[in-house]
Amino acid sequence: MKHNAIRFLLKYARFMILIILLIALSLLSPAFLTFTNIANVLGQASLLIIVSYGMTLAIVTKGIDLSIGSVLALSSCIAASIIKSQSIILGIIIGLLIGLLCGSINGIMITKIGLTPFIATYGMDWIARGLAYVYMGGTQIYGFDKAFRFFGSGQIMGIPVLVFEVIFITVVLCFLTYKTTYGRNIYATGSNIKATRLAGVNTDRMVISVFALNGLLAAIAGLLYISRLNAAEALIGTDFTLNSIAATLIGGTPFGGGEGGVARTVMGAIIMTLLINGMNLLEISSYWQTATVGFVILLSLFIENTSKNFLV
Amino acid sequence: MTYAKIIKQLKKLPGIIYGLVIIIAFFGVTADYFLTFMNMMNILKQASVLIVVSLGMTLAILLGKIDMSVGSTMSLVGVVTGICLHKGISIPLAICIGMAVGSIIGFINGYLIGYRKFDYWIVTFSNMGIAQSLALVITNGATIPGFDSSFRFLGDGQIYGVPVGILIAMAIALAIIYLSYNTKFGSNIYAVGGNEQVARYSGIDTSKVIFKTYILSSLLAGFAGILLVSKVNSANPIAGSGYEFDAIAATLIGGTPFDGGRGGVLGTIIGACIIATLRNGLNMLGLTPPIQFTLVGFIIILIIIFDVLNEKYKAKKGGAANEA
Amino acid sequence: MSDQIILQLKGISKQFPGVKALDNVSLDVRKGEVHVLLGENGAGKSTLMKILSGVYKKDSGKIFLDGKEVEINSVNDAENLGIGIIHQEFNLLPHRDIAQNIFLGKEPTKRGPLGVKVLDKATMYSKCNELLKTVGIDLDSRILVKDLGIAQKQMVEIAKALSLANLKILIMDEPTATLTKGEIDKLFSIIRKYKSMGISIIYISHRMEEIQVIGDRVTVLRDGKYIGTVPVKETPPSELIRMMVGREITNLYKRDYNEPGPEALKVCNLSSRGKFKDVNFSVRRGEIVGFYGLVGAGRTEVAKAIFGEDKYDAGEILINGKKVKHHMPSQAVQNKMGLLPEDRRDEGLITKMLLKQNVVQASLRKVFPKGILNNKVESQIATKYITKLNIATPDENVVVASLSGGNQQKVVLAKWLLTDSEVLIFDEPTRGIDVGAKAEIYELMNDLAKSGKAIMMISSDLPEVIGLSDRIYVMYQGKIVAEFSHENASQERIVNFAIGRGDTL
Repeated sequence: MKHNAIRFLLKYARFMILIILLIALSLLSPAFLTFTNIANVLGQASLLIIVSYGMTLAIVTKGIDLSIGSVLALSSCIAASIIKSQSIILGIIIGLLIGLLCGSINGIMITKIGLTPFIATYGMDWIARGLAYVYMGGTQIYGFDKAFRFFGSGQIMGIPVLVFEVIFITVVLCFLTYKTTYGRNIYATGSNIKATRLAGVNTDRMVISVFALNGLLAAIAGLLYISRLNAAEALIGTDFTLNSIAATLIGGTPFGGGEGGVARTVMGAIIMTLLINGMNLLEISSYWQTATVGFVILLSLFIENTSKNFLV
Repeated sequence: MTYAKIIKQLKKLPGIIYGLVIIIAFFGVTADYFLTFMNMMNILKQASVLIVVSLGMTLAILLGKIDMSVGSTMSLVGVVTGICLHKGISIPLAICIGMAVGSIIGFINGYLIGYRKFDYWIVTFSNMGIAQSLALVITNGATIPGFDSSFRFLGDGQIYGVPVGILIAMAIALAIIYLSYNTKFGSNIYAVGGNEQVARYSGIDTSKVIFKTYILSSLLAGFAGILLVSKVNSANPIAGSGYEFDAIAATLIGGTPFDGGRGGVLGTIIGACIIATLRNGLNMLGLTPPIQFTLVGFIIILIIIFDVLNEKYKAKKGGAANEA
Repeated sequence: MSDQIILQLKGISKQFPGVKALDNVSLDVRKGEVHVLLGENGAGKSTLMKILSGVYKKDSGKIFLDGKEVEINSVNDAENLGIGIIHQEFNLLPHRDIAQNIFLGKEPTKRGPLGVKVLDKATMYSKCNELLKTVGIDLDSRILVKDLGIAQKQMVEIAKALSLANLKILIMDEPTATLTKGEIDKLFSIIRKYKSMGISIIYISHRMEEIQVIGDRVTVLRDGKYIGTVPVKETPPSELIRMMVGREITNLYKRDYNEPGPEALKVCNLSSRGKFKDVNFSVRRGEIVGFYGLVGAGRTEVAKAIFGEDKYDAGEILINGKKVKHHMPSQAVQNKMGLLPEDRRDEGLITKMLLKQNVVQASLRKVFPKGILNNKVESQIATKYITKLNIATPDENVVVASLSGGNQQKVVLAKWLLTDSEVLIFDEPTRGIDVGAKAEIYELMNDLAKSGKAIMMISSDLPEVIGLSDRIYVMYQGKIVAEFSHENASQERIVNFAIGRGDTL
């Protein structure tokens, strides 16, 4: 009886947190339930959701990707300068390619050289960020063409375009991870890489492709981000890494690998966005953000760990 | 006994000492003013901070784990101590308060990793964020400038021309060397890193060893943070960011690989000198900070890759040796 | 030896997730006796000893030492009571020296500078040298363990257990598995010496000849249950085997030898530094070829090299007469090979996933050529194999972790049958599986051979190797040292080759 109650609580904990957050924020801040703020939250959440999908895939394969924020910055900075100087299409393509490339390098460092995902992607984090700074030389690029800005800040029938884009990406990724043999192999690799390899799956290729996909998602998020912001600079996106880890974990994808999935992460990303949005509305110093996110990560690990011990 | 050990370990180090010599020679030729007395003193001061924080990282890596939170612990302890000093608290007390705050980070790391068996990467990475954030919160993002000369003596002073910072770093290093070779605790760190199950089967309280090591690591990081504040005469809330990366590199170069249970803190000292020289030399070459930043990142990741490949190669050669 | 009982275990039970490892087991050990603990793999011997030495905690039952009830909650508790253990797998730190290993966790200390407690290294090394002398090995206590040979490591393990100050009971878990004849003799003389000092030894082994030489009494366990305790002198080996196995072995192996077909797998001069050297053998269609040897003889390593999981330095592999080189297992699978690994839970199955998902894991490309999963098809295939292999499971949607060992092995087998593998490598196919499921797996293997599959079987279970194989290769220290046909295979000769004694009887 008692167990059932706790099981129930754990299962619906995310919904309850979400509802409590919504109620609390609407009571505490009159600005929360305004049209501009809701659109703002949706936009922010969309970007975090895209980035968190990448993080989720990495964690499902029993890895992690600490380079997401910097890869986002590097690819979008380079894309921005090409969009300004050449063409939008070329800029977008090159931006996406850079994301793919960074992600693939991560995957190769992990599989072929044998670095742990933490170290490999942390190294990539420094290098990509550094390259972004070198490339930008301390400047900003701003004022994009209207056509490009549409992707990140346009609206269709009053709804941000970003929302449609996220829905599209969600559908694609859900299909890919839940309905295809590729997705099955991602889960198998994350659950038990050795057994999966011995069953004839090229697990190196799986890991590399997942990290490449991560890089691609980071680049997509980066392009949408600069489109929304109408500006690009080297220091953008630093918060995304930790936030996306938190979104993945509270969404319900645990660190053990082979469990959870992108569908769960949506909820986690929305909760994280509301939390951060609420802190902004309540005028809590933005310096508290990282601590809060870190705390949320540790807390969700703690709850997962305790509930596992309890339920067994 | 310790002496023999030190000699033995030094004999294994020629590679990296040559490395240091080559780096010094390279910058000596390419960078003006690199081989000046002033600059050498600068490198030593810079190295003293890195040595202290790397010692803690080395202990964590010897344990078969890692401590990503050392850099932001440095920042946090630095600003806490700085604020205390500006409030007129005496130097020893201010240092103690700073270190106490830093040890809370180690306490959380140690408890969650040692007793709750959480993944050490994610715990120390989260704490890295938390400590960084707290440092920004209490300073509101601002740098605390200007300290008393008696406090600055720690990191910036000289005794007979030798920087005080390096003397302090050496004293701490000797203490940690003694600890790791001559105490039960040190031996237990090697045992847990070598094989946690064997350690447990031998009756070692592995959780406690992990717990204590993380606290020690945060204390060392905290002290490094204080040295840094004293050296640059200001407490910047993001001053320590990135030191965890340098510390990992110093440890690996010094001959303590990631898998734990072997290597030692002695090599780390030289590893830290190499990294400090590298940073200083690139600076002296007149490269812009972003380029330095990227270049050092590249070099460090190459060092790590080289180290991992080297361990793989040695493991293969080791298999052949067993056959003979 | 006296009749005084020093140690008594009463009604010990231990449950692991999914397995009842020990069920109400009792044991009494007399002062100064060598008490043999006998049983098949998975009978619960090691679990019982791990409870006694404080590694595991018992669920229920009582332990009495010298007539007093004691609680053993940690390794330290056991050591303080004078109970030492030599574990089956090496329990040494390779990068530390002999003395550091022997005194691990109980290093002698002294007051150092500032009154701090520091290691007393002088005492530690001199005590260690003494101890090494007692055990009869002439080694410097400063040598790193990684530089020692296997037998020397084993002696260090023994010295480690003997280093307990008030040693009363010494547990040895298969201590001779890796020793040569001479080393075994040395070990036995040490055992006799400690026995005469009144120390009791609990000796785990399933080598009959050793039991006859060194044992006083034998306690037999089977499937986690206590079967009985008998004096060695009055009990013939056949009776012990009957107690251990629970029924006559003869009807366990069913094998229809048929005329083998062409060579399906041929291995020429395969070598891998430090693992195996110049390995030559072949497996023909319709054959089961057994590989026998001690742990570490290189059998699994050869299998993994053939399968592309490990690299090799030299030699050739031919499948159906065609030269192949596998850089990774996926290539081996494409060449219609299958591997049922030694460690089912970690290498053979994805235990978090469902039964049906495990069955199709190696054939995803074949079953779903468009790359899109179909739940229904998956279930149908799994159901087919559940019936075909008689897998005991509620349905195909269970997590494999919840199945018993025998049924898990059948799932692994189903996975490879679905790929239409022609060459199957079975590595310890029945380890930890109960007798009933064993017989079924043997029957399946027999059927597979009959249908023309080529089977390479690695096993440490000698009756299984002899009962099932067409031909038997014996490996010793990375080399094939003998080949037997099933007609001229004899237990004694095979064992002699496997422990490096050659054909000298």
